Amino acid sequence: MIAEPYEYFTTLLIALLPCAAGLQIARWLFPHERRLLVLGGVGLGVGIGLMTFGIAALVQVVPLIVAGAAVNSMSALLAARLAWQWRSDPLRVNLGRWTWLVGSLLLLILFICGVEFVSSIWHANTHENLLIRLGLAAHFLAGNWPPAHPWEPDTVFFYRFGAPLWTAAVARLGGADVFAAGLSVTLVSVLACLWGVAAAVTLLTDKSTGLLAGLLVAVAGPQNFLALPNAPFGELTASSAQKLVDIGPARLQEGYVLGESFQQLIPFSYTLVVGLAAAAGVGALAVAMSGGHARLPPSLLVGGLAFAGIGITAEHVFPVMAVGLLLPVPVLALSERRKEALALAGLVLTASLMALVPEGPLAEFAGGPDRVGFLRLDTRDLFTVPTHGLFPEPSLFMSTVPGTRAGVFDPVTWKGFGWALIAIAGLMVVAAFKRRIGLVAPAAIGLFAMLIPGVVNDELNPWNTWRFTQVGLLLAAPALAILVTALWRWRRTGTWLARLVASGLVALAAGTWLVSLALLPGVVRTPESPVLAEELAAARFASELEFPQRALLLPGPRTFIELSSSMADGMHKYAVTFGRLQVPMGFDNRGSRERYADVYARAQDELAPEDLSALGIDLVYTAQNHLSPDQKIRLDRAVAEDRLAPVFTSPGGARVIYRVVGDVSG
Amino acid sequence: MARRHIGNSLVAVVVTGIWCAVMLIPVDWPLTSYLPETAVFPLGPVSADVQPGQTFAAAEPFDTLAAPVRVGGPLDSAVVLGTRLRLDGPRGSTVAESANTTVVSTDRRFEMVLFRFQETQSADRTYFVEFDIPRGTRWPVLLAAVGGDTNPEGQLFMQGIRAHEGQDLVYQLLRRQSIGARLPAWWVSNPGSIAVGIGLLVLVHLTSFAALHTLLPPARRRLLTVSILGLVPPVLLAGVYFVLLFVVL
Repeated sequence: MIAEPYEYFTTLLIALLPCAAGLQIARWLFPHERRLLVLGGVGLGVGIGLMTFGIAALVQVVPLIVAGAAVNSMSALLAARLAWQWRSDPLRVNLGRWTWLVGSLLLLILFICGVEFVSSIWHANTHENLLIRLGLAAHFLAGNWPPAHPWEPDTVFFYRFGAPLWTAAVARLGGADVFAAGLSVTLVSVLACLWGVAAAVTLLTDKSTGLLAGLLVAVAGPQNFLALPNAPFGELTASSAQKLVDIGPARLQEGYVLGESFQQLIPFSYTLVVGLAAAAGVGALAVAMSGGHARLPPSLLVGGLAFAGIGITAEHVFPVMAVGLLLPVPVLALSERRKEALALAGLVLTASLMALVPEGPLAEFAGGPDRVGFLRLDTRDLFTVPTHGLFPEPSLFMSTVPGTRAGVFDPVTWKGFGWALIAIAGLMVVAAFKRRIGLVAPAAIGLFAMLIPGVVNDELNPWNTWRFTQVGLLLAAPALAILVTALWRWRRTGTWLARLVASGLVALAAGTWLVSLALLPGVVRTPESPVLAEELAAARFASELEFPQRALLLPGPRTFIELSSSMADGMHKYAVTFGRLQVPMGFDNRGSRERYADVYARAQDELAPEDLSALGIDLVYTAQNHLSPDQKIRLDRAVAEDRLAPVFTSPGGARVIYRVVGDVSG
Repeated sequence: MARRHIGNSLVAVVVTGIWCAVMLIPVDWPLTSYLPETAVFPLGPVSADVQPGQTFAAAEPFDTLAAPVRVGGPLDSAVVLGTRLRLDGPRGSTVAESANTTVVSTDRRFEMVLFRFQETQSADRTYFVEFDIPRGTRWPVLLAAVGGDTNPEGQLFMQGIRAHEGQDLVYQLLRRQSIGARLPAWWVSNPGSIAVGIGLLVLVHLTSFAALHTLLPPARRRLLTVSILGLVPPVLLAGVYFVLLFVVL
């Protein structure tokens, strides 16, 4: 399951297909544009958006293999057309003296992102990818449609499944498992996201600013490096190097105010990166539409479909994007550019309608207010941002009274994200000074996204709405790029001061990333499972059984916190993802926990046939090296009474799988 | 022309010197992990009459043992401590004694104190470390310990008698080695980290080279000049990291 070498190649090629197709579509939409920086930025993101939308829409009527093959065949045809047309009418790279630097920085960033993704699967550098995102992709590969939730198999997983669907299609067509496919999808999405941001800002301003914006999105983060000398690392090791490696880049790049570097999104949930890639492409397309550079009717259709793809991939990005596109509409309408204003409004409308086609979060919202009753609108928290104060773990870098929220202008927000606040305010000043209202867009959208958690609260899982602040802080990076280049090019009095401020702002934004660069080798230091070969052998056995199989994990997690942990060598995550098993444990408060939690816990404690039957358990999947004496006794008794029959034992005996004997119709 | 050659040579010498320093200067490498602070409790006061000790197995050769110590007097109160290593247990033969170390009371919970042995102690043996607290020491001394049997191969002893089961002293084994000498051991234990480290190093150098190539005016973009000067930022960065981590902090 750790991929064969060819799998990286085939999956990368297939993941690049929608990008090539998108590039060809972008050529068609912008007949007079020849800059690869612009067309690639639009095309890659739009291609990814179209791919996720296309598969999600088709898979409702045909099997995944057919849906994936159909969308990828169309992509392949467009890619072939691109290659053919390139011979006679090539696009201009046109990066001039920046070519070397852009190329090497891109390699460095992609390398870091790749390591982060790999470490999230094999080294427990955060848990979400392996726990649920790749798990869902693996279940899709096994024919899981409509998407049953791996941890609540009687309920449908209706949100954030666009990226796992694409991953599953890439894996199936590339003859690979989900790990290699997920890695390829992640790397291609990172490339598309940064390129899309660069293209959008290039269209708004110029090439240098666009390239800086792409770079800053990748490296900007909280200003934790400033507090590093005072951080209380602890007094129980003789080595500062060891302390820092153990803290790791994740903790170093985590803000007390809820925001972190782009790099940290990858191990946390690569789905968000896929959504952001599509958003960057659609954003660049929208900038071109509002500037009159694109054919409007086809752009409306293509952009709307790609935008709809975001809704099922990263629902947090959809409303932010919609507001961002609607903000310039009145300005365009008032400045006699009604066609462009109508086009942007039409783009949002088309996307909103199209997003109802696949069964996703927007379709769920449209289903009725009772289905979104967990969302509460309340302005009491307006102008506040969420913090890590919700969690018991204190910040290493902030001595502050832990609180779940901080004011936007509180010292703690300035200390963590001062550069972002300055970027948002500064860009508004620059736009007013230059009398170019369009420049305000990144700052306005960023501010809007940051403040959403102050108005909308998800009572079941606050984290879901809090992610808007993370998206907002990411959007502050393009705003910073525009401000910094404006300062750098300041030609009136105080040029040196303007340049000093510009350099200082970049240093504040990128300092933590630079400091944490040296800690990257530490994230792949220790594999999560010391018995990985046995773990994967057991998972392979389970994956070859008929899908679906429901399993009881012993020992295994019972709560959401335990799910996001490495208990029993992380067996639960490997079993669900690579073993394609359903575990009726109950996931988080948003789902149907109450339906499973008590019975599952009792079944783990007692292995009683009625509980196993009520949950429809087929297999008992055990980590023998972590069983308590009581659990061993119960298992032995169940085997002796012919209630369980061992069907698999890993070579070293660390993993044993038992089949439940008798009726499990539940 | 000659001045440029001299300048390039000087830069080359400096960057080579920094790399040599980073690769060859010996520093203390932890061989064992430290324990989470939350699980730790203060053990003591310990004294010549209540002498603490701990058995442990060494997986690698070591030459230093570090332990968190708290001196319970007013700030800046000092005591002198030492350690003795025995084989197998409290009644085993003495194999090494550390140099005495002065520990001072500070406002921190514990001070990490290094006890250095003259010779490197071999691996794959069970040791017993005994803390020497001179009789008549004026201030109370506390060590750090943990419950939960975090060190299954070891056991806490008080005055040569096994203390409560599942409790261990907090300690760390270290070895003074250069990065160059340490690399083979890392390659065996953490090949992934080494591969990522090498990849990162190459890409950071490439980026630095590219940055310089971009920033220099075309007339000065000679390959040799750019190559040598391009080495400066990452090498300086590596040097600063090294000094901060192993000298300053």
